[in-house]
Amino acid sequence: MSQKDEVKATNNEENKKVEEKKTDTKKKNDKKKKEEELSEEDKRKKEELDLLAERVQDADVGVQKLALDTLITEIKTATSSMTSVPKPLKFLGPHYEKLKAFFDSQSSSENKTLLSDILAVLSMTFGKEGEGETLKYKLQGSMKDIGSWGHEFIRHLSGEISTEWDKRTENKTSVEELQNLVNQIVPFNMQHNAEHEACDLLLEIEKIDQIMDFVDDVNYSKIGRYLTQCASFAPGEDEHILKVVQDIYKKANQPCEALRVCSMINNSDVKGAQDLFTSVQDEVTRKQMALQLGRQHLYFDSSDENLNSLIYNSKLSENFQVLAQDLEITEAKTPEDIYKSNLSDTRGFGTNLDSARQNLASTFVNAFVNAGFLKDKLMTEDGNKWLYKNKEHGMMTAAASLGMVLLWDVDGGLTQIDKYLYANEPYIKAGTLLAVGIVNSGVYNECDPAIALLSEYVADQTNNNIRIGAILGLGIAYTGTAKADLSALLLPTVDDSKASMEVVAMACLSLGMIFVGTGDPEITNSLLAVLMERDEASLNQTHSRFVALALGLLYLGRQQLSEVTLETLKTVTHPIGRYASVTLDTCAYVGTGNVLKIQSLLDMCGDHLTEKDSHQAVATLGIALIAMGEDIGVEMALRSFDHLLQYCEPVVRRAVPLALGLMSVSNPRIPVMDTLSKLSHDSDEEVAMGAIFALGLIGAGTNNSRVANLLRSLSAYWYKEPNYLFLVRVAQGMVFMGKGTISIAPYDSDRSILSRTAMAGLLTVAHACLDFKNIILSKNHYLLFTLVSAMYPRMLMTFDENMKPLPVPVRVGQAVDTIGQAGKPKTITGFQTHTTPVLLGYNDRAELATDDYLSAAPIMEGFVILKPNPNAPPPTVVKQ
Amino acid sequence: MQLPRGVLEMARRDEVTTLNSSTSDSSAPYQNFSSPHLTLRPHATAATCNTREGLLWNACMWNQNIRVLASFTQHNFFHSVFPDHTSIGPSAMFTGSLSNHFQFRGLSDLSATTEPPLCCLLVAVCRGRQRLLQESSESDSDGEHVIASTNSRSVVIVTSHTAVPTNFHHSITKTMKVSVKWGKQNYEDIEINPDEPPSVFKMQLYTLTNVLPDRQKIMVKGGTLKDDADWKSLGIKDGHKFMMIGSAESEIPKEPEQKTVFVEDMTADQAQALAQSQYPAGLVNLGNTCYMNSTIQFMKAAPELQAALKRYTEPSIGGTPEKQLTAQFRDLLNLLSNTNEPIPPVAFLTILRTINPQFAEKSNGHFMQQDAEEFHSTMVQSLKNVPKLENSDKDIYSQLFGGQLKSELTSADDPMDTTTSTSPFSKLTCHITNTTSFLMEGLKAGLNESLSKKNAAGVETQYNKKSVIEELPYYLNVQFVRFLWKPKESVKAKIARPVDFPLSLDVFELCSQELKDKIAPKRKRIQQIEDDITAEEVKKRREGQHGSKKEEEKKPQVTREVTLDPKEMHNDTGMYELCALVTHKGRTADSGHYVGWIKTLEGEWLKYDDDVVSPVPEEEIKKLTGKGGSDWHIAYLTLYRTKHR
Repeated sequence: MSQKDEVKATNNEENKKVEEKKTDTKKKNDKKKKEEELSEEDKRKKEELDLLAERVQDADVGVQKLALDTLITEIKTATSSMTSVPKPLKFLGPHYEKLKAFFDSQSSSENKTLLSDILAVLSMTFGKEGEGETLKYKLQGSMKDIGSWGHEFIRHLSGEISTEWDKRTENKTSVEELQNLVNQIVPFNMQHNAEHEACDLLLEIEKIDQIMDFVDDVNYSKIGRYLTQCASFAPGEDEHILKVVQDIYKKANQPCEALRVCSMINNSDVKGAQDLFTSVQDEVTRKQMALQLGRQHLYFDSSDENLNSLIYNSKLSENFQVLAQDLEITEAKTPEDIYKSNLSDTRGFGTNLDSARQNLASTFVNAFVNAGFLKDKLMTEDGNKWLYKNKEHGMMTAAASLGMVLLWDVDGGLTQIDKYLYANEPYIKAGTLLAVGIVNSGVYNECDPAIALLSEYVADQTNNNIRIGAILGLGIAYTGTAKADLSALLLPTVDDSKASMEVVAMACLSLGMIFVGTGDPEITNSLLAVLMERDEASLNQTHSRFVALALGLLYLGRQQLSEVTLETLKTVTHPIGRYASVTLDTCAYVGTGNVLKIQSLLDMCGDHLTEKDSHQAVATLGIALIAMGEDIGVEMALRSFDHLLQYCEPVVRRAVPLALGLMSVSNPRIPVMDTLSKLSHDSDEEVAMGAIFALGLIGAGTNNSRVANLLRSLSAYWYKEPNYLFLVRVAQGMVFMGKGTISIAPYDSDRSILSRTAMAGLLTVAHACLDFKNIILSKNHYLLFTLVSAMYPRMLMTFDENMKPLPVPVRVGQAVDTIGQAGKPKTITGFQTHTTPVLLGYNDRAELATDDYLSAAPIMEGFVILKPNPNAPPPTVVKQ
Repeated sequence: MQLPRGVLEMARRDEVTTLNSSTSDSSAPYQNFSSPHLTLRPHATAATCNTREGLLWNACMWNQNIRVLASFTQHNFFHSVFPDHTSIGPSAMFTGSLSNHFQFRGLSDLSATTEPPLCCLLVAVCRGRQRLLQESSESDSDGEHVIASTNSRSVVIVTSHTAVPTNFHHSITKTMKVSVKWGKQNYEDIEINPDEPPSVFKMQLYTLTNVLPDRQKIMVKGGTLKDDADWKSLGIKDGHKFMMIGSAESEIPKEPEQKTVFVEDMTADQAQALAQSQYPAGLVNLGNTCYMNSTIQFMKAAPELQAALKRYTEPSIGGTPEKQLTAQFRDLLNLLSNTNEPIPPVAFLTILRTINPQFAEKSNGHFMQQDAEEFHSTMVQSLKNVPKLENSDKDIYSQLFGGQLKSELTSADDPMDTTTSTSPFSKLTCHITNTTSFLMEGLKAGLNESLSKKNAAGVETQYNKKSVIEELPYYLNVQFVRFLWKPKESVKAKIARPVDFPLSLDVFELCSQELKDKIAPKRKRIQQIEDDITAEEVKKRREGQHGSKKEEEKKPQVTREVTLDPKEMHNDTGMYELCALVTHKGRTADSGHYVGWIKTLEGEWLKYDDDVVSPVPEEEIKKLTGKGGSDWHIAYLTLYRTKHR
């Protein structure tokens, strides 16, 4: 301060003159603007600053220096609130242009550098938008200690750097000096709780890799989560960003998190997952990772029997029984328990007769509702009786439903299923083969019982259904495993020119499911060959759509990888080629939220075509597929569907309910429910059927009473229409899937990982539903069982380190998005405390409600191992 | 449980027990005695005993180690490899649990000093007798043969050292131990000799699991294990884990004899016919005749009535109209029992209208709706034509539905002026006042009326008539007095007040003191039994046996036999159960709709809505009290039958 006084004293005279001038102008200003009165203090400050600004332009270098230093101190020490400009900046404003001019006239010197720094700060408020003056002056300034100019300055500067960076990379000029600045800004941000800004800057200049140098044990989680979130908004860049995130977690020694990210990048990346797994030594972490691997169906041999049993989901059935016992829902339910037809007043004529269609519906309901509980009232008690209450293909489905009831219990289940393999009735045999596949879904067994039992029937020449049962059974059993033996086993059928299109299509579909997301070139070629070489009559069959779907599944989520195949498909002249292209394209970008893709799909849907145009239906589904990853995209897609419903061709309208269903699988949100409820009474048969089925999809495994009531009233409304009633029943069964414990939502791990296997099942059903009449309502209703690959208990079970169930209190509540927020905000709201195991809703999140344990898993979902907390407070003894 | 007969045979015959492996003579019965295994084909005698009980022993011996393969056929195969051949030394005893039938004990008494060893001893012991083998073997120095069996339950096979193949050692060392998982069970340390075909392995598994070898599916790479597969090419290693599938049940699912017929395969008519056929026939509405239809079904609820009607032999054509009506009623009930098709009761209706023109009343060209109760009374009247039962002095209707009331007529002015009288009754009426909410209240009101009549002095006096039941009817008719003639509007108005009626009715309160005393002991007994049952259930529930509810459901419904023995037709407990109702839906007696609800003898409720007959859950019956207002079916006539225990 003494220095400042001195300056004041020495320049007293000049000061006065300036002041006079100032007062003159001020008076004018007063008259014009009626500016608010400055307080005494402010007045003095303003005078001071005005003087300094003059001094800066002084000829004497010493005076200059002194003035500059003083100014710098003034600026740096100024305090301000969020809404107002700091006083020094405000008062220096009028001098900005003058100082700029003075600066330009100066030759470079130490003072010029100092002035440059000041100008950089001033330009933040007074510089013209888009000129990048801050950066310009900063570059000519000291380039040192930029953090001292405050957060706002850094933020502003970062913005200009990213603009400038773009320009320079375009012009191919050096960015070195910018990099210099970045190197200062990023650590500053990191130290000051502004990790997100650092990430933003690096993302803007596409140098996100550099973040690695600044990650430590404390900030990794903030950075990781923020970048993960950013990835979904950076089409094309997402994979790279996620790889960086993965590295961050690796560096921070968080292998479980790294594994999650690995699954996000490429859900079928067994190799990557295995590398991560083998790099970990800690036993508990390995176990937890093994559980995560199992959830993602990334099977490999870890050469440890115990870990293998976790990776292979061998205990899934066992643990599910524990859950069922805990929730007291072991009692088998009958279809009538679900229909509750005594509540609706439609009883009477004909209800006690055996209707093949309604018995088939009951088969599905029974299968879905008792899935995984190992006992039911129809199939496990006296299965033979029920089998013969069904007709032809219905028998096949009924036999297959046994697999559903015994789901995941490979050891015990196959023994029960086996006896039906000796049945004389080919339909039963076919269904039993399918049941073998279904039981194995989602679990892996080293003995490969499914291959052993089914392989001999794959080329069965006596009966197409037996062949299909074996082929589809393999597809369901090995969904997502990419097992090489199976391509050798199934490809001959694909290439079999004598086989019927139905068989070939099922073989293709199975391959698509098994090799989902791998982009296997050999299979791709075989599938393309089917589309190119088969005669028109067979391609015209409705089943040919599954060949197209299989292609899509192969490239599920693989984005650019699909491009070559997409080009090749252009050579297919049959309309199925177009169908396949759209399927492939939408599958490749599933869950990315890619806006450009959505736009082109909307465009496609808007066409009013006259020729065979089923690809538009796929495009409609595609919108849902691409948007489903991300909340805002879903909202936008919902609006678009309203338009599609009103303006588009019937083929598009018919796909809309299914698309709506796909977009919120197992997530019965009210707006979707309302729309579907409305559409379920539509005059267009397929729209209404689609809507009914979609109601089942959105309510799947939730026990949602609203959906259940809607469906119950629909069952009364449609009771005279066997086809509608069938679908209503199936939908009812889905709503109570696993008695409300099994969800088919394709996203897991806090709705961040899109499971390729789940998607394969959902897509198969969705495509099958595009032609209700010829597939679901005809002979291939068993395709509904492909949903099994999406089925997983929506639970949280906790274990101790030895994999013994460990009940602990947890808080379960609505998830809150806290990414990018400062501090440690609450991640759930409106929570209730339960004791594990608990069920989690679609939007629910859980957290431990005890300090005694620490979770080994990053996300409290599915199976979680708990470690005792070394820092746990000693148990408090309650005195009586 | 016996030993295979072949074994016994062998044990008894010296020549069987002593085998000389050097006998390579083709004429010998042991010509299959070959290396590397010493295979003894079933002895001829054994085989002839019963071909299915043949016997196969493989005995191999090398040095001091013994390897025994024993395969019996007794109903089926069991087979075993003694697990650890190396552990068998002199006097070692090894045990393998081979099947649920047999236990084998091998005892080798080999003199370690003798080189090569001479013999092995194998004994089968019947486990059922738990007789362990106490056996010793002798070795013969010349190595030719030996052994003795001590009792008839053991068998001994001896082979001499000369049978030892030179390459045997080699083949033994290559055996592998594997484990097999079957369902949730795990079998460890099962030995496989790669030189033997997998069928041997399968037989081993059979002894363990009881799954027939040809029903066993053992998972190997790329398929299931075939009987003739080569172990070496399968790449099975020591410690391999097999998975076996197959169920021990040998039954193959068969098509049920009765084929299911599906609606989809039928024409609409067929389907409708079949849908109806499951229930008794309904009656076609011939123009506002639901009062009649429902009441006929209501009366049919007493099967005794129908049986009694069969005794009425007058022809349905000719005779007086009254007689014709009874005959028509008889024929109609018979028809209803013999078909499932809805019946249009045209002839019956015609004769009804002839007798009682009230039912032919028309308005605007249509026949009018009538009161079901009036129709009921008409029918009761016509039943008087039916001949009385043997040993009975009452007409058939009174026999079934009639009881005796004891009435006390007391003057309101002079309590001393009391007269007692008895009168028969065939129904109780439930009077509904503003306060009536339960059937019992209404019944009591019905039994206490006040009337005015001239007293002895010839003065018009108010009398209170108080009645009690002196004799209980077999079937108890209860009528809800729901219709009220409103002279002003000249309409029969309806009282829609809800009155709760029980599914089980106890009229004890309404009985006379004498009757109460008479029936009390039996009631007490029944009460006792019921208490016991409930106590038992409570006890069961406490013990955590949730099955009690199920048991109750499964308890077979007491099916009643329809007898026409008047001795049987009485009620000595005062307890009744609801078995039929006629309900009315609508605002007045002359409009609306009548429906019959009948409980079948099997305990299921059926709704007779003219020609549509459908089952209803019991909960629906409870809803007929009038709580739903006059727009829902309200009980009007109810019939209670004697509760049988």
